[in-house]
Amino acid sequence: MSADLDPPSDGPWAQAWKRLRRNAMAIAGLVVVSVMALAATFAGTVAPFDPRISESWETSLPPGARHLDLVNEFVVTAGQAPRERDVPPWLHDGLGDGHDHACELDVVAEEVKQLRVTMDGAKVTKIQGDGARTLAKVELGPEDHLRVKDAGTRIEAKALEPGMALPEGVPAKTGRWVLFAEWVRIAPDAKRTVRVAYGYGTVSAVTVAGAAHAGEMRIRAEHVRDLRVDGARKEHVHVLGTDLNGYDVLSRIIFGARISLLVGLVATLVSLSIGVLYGAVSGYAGGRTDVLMMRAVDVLYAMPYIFLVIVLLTVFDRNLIVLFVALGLVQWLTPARVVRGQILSIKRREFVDAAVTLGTTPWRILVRHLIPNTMGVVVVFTTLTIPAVILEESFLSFIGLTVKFGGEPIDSWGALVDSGRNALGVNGERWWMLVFPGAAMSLTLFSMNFLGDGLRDALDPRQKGRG
Amino acid sequence: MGRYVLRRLLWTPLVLLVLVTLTFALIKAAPGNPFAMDRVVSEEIRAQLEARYGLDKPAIVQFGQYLGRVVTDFDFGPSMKFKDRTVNDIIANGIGPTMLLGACAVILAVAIGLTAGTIGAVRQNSVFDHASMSAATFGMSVPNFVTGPVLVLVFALSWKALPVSGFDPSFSLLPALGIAALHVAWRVTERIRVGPAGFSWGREFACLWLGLLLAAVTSVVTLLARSPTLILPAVTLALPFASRIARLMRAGMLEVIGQDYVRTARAKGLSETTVVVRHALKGGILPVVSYLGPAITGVLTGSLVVEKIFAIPGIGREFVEAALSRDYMLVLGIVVLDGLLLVLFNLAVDVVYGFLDPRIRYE
Amino acid sequence: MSSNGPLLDLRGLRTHFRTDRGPVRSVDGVDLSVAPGESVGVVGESGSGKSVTMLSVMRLLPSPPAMHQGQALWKGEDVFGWGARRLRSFRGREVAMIFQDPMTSLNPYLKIGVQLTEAVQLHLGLDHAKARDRAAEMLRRVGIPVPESRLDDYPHQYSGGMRQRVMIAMALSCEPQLLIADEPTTALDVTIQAQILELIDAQRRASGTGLVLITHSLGVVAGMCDRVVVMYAGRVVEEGRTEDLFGDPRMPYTVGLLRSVPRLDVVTERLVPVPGTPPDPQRLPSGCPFRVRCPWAEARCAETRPELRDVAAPGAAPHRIACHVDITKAAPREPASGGAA
Repeated sequence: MSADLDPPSDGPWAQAWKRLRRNAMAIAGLVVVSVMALAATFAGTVAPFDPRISESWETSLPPGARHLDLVNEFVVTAGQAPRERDVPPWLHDGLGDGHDHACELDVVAEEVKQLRVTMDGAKVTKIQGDGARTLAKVELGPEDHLRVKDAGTRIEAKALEPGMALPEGVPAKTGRWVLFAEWVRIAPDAKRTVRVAYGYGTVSAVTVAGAAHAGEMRIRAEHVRDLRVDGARKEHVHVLGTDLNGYDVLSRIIFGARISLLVGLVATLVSLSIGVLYGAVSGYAGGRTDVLMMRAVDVLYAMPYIFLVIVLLTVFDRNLIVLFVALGLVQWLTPARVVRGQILSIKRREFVDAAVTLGTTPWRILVRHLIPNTMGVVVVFTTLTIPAVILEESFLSFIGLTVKFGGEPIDSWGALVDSGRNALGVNGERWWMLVFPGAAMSLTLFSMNFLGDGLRDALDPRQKGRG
Repeated sequence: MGRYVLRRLLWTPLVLLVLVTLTFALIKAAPGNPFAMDRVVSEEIRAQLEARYGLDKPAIVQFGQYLGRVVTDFDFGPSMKFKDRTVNDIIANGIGPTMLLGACAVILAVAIGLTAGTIGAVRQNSVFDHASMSAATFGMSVPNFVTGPVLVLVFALSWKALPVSGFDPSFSLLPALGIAALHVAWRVTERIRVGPAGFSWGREFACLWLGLLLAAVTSVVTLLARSPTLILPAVTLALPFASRIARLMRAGMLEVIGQDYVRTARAKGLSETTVVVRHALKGGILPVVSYLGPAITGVLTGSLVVEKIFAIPGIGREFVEAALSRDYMLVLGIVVLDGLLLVLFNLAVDVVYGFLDPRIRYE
Repeated sequence: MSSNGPLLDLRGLRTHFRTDRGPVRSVDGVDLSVAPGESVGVVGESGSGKSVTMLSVMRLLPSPPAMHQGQALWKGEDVFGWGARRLRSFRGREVAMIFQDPMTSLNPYLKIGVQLTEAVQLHLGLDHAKARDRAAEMLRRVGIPVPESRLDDYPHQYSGGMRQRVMIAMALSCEPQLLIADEPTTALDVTIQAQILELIDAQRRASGTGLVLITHSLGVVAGMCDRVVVMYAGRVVEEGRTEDLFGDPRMPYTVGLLRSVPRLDVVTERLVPVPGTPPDPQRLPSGCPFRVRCPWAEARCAETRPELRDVAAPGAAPHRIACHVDITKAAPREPASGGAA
């Protein structure tokens, strides 16, 4: 390529970079966006948890909650290799690594008593224990609890006696009905230590309180009070808490970033390609074609386009491709207008005349000479369109038009915010499920807008301070 | 001026026609039959249904009939999900709450935005300027489907100062209040001399200003007293627009204050208030006026979210539900109606713009 | 009010602009006075501080970044000591200003009538109808045909020259004692320039108004001004009666300026532009700022900055220059060597 065919040489870009570096907010935005993009790209490595795996006792943990690294119930048998799904990952991973490991679990024994509670609406009328014996009152110790049989959910109560209204955790029904509950009692002196020695492919020994345990041993996570592997405590921290399903909020945000950023990037590329090409053709053709093409843009500009996107997603299958097309189709108008303006001013420059006199075809002039010269505008629009598209996609997810990918609904930030909103609880006690996804999204949009504004100022100082 | 308005007016039906055609074509392009989706019906009933909705005729005829009904009778046809309700019924029930919410939000946004932006520009680099601009930048970036639930969390769930959701239909005084406020402002500014006496633009502006502020204050007070359910939705909806308007107003004012003609006005010995009110405001407000068109689109779009969050029975919520349950007739009707509202509002904005900027008017 | 004293008397006026890269000394100690009814031309290259000086007097520069020092005395009162109220009665009423670009100096959103009447209503206390009459009268005086109907037009409906006429009408409408015209013809067509200057001259003579005419054109000054002030790098470098200064320039910069202007009354062999470029106000050379371009520069010019001194014959009108060298006695170097710095 000869010199005049090059897109703007290093000079203006280097200058723009210099100007951008002086803009502290834009640089902060750049840093945030880069961190987000990296986290999203390497979500599998960065995210502390798999956002699709959870244990039932992990639900609605507040930010910073710690829990032992266990699965619901796991099974070990001395002399055998356990199945992957039966054990926590650290045990499974340690099995093949050629080292001996020792795992100590402090386990408490619990005693389960069956209760039959007769209810009238939400009011307790009668409590019966073993052998239909009527109980005057069930008092629960500090570690005791009640749970609904079958459903497995906990009943939040300190005591149970006839005449009281059943507290949270039990769905109210009308009329007389019977609640089958379990009274789980923790015996304070029932603490035992279980040792599991493993490595070299099998569990070599299982001992309970110093004595060898023969055969299969089932350990329920809720009975484990402490866990040490090779002397170190095995714990997990949910920095931002977990949601109603027990999924780690931070991990969901990171995986959501992947979806949101991907949608933003692809839809922006679609829209910019359309916009740049349309604007370039219109500007270069000039005359009546130009007028007609721009009038069409004007008409489309007046459309309530988000409604049209909704119609599109209503009418067609809600998959990613339709979403890309829908969002891409509405965002191309502004770049088309701006690029046209740029082309109009560039096409009068000498190097275009030179190319025309050399007999270059119009198409070639457009693609090789004119469009590269609009790159500054394109860069600015890319950074400003991505947040707009992310916002729109999240908006659609939020109102319920969740897009499916591979048959499963994708969890973009908008969907996270919506589920967080629904999970708040009557006093807003589960605030973290809403606040953190919302904050992540706002921070990203904030940063991208700052970066876009900074880039616009840097690339076109004359525009500074507009809007 | 007349020709300018006329040209804008001719634009309106074209935009609407394109909108209806586009939406209709999209719906017709839907794969499968809308009735085949969730209900299994006999051939006979299906034929009946198709006849009822005119689906047995070719698409172009259907389109013609639909357009004819809409234009002549303003009839958007029957709903596909609710057997005994027409689209008109649903819209008639929903338009009130939506308009009320939108009016509240626009009044709040304009009043707050203009005031904050003007003060920010006149007292550039003051503490107020920095604080309000930071708040505005933040307000612009936080989507309203985040703001809304967070406001609910803070004010309704934790603090319990305001209701979580719902809508009090008894309350629809607000538009009347706004007009009354404008009227009061007009009378008040008659007495107050804005700068030297006589013909000036100051009065119109002072009036608009006072009117907006009065409307905002009275609406907030009334909302608190009578219908607190509307406060959080209105604030949620208004926030991004107030932020954007504040920034536009500040930038516009700063640009105008730096103009030679403002220096000329100062050199005449006019007071700073007169300089700002009479000489700077008119130019400085223009970017805000051109933003009002997109802002109304934004308010309508935002109402989809806000009505969902706060369970307000407006057309926004109906639209989302219609989209989710594929009630095509209702979707079509609401798109056309919103399109009409937008086009009319944009026309009004254009006229106001022409009124403010003589160079456009006499073009 | 002392009738004999000068209307405007600047004493050591300094206007510095605070910038990120340190202060810019646009006006750096200007002494200048204007007597009632007198017309003074202020001449200098762009960036010499002539406009900033007058904008400082009107206190029209936003502060910060502009910082003022020294005094600007209006009939003995320091302008910088005034409160907002006194300042407003000064601007427009006592001193009026005409700006360089009439295309941007009129408010495009307001009718000409409004812009013309507001100052009259404010300062002269006329009611609306009388103010309109006065505005029409002023427009007629500056030569705008059918003024009554043109009051309701907007600035964009006027041509450039017409707009400058409106500016003149606006400036003179409150009968100020001093008119400051800041390059009033620079932005206009050459054909209109002379008309506008004549108009300013005739109007101010008719009302006995003092005039400060800021220009970079010596030719304009020669025809209109009683006295000329030459500015360079934020200071006055030569000042005197027009005929003295033109007939016997004593400051090398003025000499250079005069040589660069074609004159009808003197046959010159060739026009010589002043060599070099005006200095960056942030990095002024030591001593006399003109020395790097000056063919007469000597060693002492680099050491101290020359103060204004009177070089007129005893008893004659003052003629002051800021120069160490007496160019009537010293010989210049070749211009080429002077321009190399």
